[in-house]
Amino acid sequence: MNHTTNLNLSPRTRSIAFNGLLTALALVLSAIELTLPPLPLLPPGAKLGLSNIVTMYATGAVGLGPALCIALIKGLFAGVTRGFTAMLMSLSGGLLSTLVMWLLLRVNGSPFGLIGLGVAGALSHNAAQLFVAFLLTTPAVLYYLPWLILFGVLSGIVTGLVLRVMMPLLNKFTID
Amino acid sequence: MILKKKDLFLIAFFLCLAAVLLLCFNKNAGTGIAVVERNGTELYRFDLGKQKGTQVIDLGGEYHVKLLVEPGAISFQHSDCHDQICVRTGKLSKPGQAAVCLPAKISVRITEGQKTIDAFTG
Amino acid sequence: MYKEKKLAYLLFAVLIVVIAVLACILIKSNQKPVSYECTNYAMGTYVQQTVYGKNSQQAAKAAAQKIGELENLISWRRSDSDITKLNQASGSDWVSIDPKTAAILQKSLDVADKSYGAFDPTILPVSSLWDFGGENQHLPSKKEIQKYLKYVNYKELRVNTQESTASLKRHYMAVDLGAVGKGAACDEAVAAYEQAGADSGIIAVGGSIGVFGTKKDGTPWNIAVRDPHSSETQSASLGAIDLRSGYVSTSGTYEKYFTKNGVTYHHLLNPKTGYPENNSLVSVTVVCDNGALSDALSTACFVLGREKGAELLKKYNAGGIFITTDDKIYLTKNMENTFTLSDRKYSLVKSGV
Repeated sequence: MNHTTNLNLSPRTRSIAFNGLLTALALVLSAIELTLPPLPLLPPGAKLGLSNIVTMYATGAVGLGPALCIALIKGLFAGVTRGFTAMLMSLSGGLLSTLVMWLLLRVNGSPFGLIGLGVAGALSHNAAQLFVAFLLTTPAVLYYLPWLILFGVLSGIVTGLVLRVMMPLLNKFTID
Repeated sequence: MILKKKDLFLIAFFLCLAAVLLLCFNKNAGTGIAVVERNGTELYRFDLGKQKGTQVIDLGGEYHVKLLVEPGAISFQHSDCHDQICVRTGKLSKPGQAAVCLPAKISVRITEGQKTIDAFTG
Repeated sequence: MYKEKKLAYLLFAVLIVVIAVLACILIKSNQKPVSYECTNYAMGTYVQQTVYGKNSQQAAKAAAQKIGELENLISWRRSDSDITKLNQASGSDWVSIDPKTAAILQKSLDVADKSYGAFDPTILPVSSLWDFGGENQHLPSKKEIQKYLKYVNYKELRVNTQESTASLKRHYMAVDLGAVGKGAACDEAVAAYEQAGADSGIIAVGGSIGVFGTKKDGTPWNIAVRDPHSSETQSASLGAIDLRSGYVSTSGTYEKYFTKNGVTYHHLLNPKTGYPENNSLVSVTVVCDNGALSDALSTACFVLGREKGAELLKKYNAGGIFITTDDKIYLTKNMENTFTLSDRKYSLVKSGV
């Protein structure tokens, strides 16, 4: 439907290329997030989860499988660059938030909009990370919970808004 | 659709939850030392700030008093006494708070923890 | 369509509120730990500072500089200090000195007068014989002490604070402000904190402490009193003073001493005898509204002993903690509510002074 992407590629190739693109985007976003100064009030290692934007989009537009794949690769990438703990944090956050968003999308009549999905994704992302931190360190990290919820709501809203802006652009590339 | 009514409910719910949790945590930030006494003699001393995990202290006696020690708080979990005032006093977490089981002559009070030293003289 | 627009506005409002709240929290959490700690060396001891507030770092640096300047004025070890000039001119003429030096000399004379010479700023002829903590630390002969004791007499030190001049009446007389210097340094630091606009701060120069302002949480400053049995490097406290404002100084036998032929000689000399004062006291801690005074008073009280010491403290409205060799602690009445004993090895005698 769009001239710019009307290349003579098989749907399979296009799907692979597109998923690769999304993965790259997720990695770039988590890299950007790394450059942000560490936020006070957040447990060590916890991130805002900007790359949720990508997994969220992938969940809705491509499907659960590729979305989980992106989360997995993102986790491995974190493991390679920042160590085992970071990998566990990233994997737990990424996989759980993807699953939660996928489930919410499948609910009949989809009660939530993009913002709601983003918030739900961010919250489950933070919850999973906190749980991992709880297991790895001390129960004291649970005191971060209220702050994580606040940051989760905020970053969820940002995710939803960004996706709203990016959706038309990304849709140009989707396989129809 | 970018925003639905339920999204707002979701956001509002979690913001409220965060606020409530914050209030709870601040309230429970007990760092005092719980002193347990029977008839005026000291039985136990717990540093609530350093307490990890919950612990039930069975004081036995005529009223089978049991204390519950948690991180940051201490309370009477059980007593066979008639009035149950001690159990209903609930959790103690701040210096100055106290709970007493008069029939069993057991008192639990919280004193200030070790203060940080600002300077040394001498 | 209209509904969606309305919702978008609502969302925007929520977002702004959340960001505003987060910004407030961030700013608040950043404001809390604005404190500056530093340790440096001056007055022959360690100077430890903790200053709170926006200008904490400048305040601490200004205080350190002021202390350095003060040391250059009042140390008899500095060849160009006011005190050296005064000592060199002993027996001849009045010398002009810095108003600060004059004020400290005046305070010293006041304490010397009220303590009937138990504290004497003109102790240098004798104290330099012993040279506690110095290179030449030794037990002087009786003859030497007798000879130089004649030159210890605060009544022959005259200070004119209006013209900032001072004189020593006789040749060989000399002033040693070692017993007030640390406290005076605390005065300087607290003044510097105030001037620099710090919120609050605490300074410790050796065993002398000065506090400025109130702590963030509103609780009094918690000043630990060293257990005389503990070493300086691993100091344990025997109790603590709740200090809202003012200065604390301690004179203890354990600060500087040496042992010769099985006898221990400490640095707290009685100006009347020229020998260390042994009156079963180990240390005296004095709380007072002036640093130099607290330092001088702690020395004076040590030499006077606890009954006469307590009388002297009354004249200055100061508080005292007297610790004896048999591990008893005597408090003056005004210290009863501010001192708490934590070491059960010691016993507290409240109305004992």
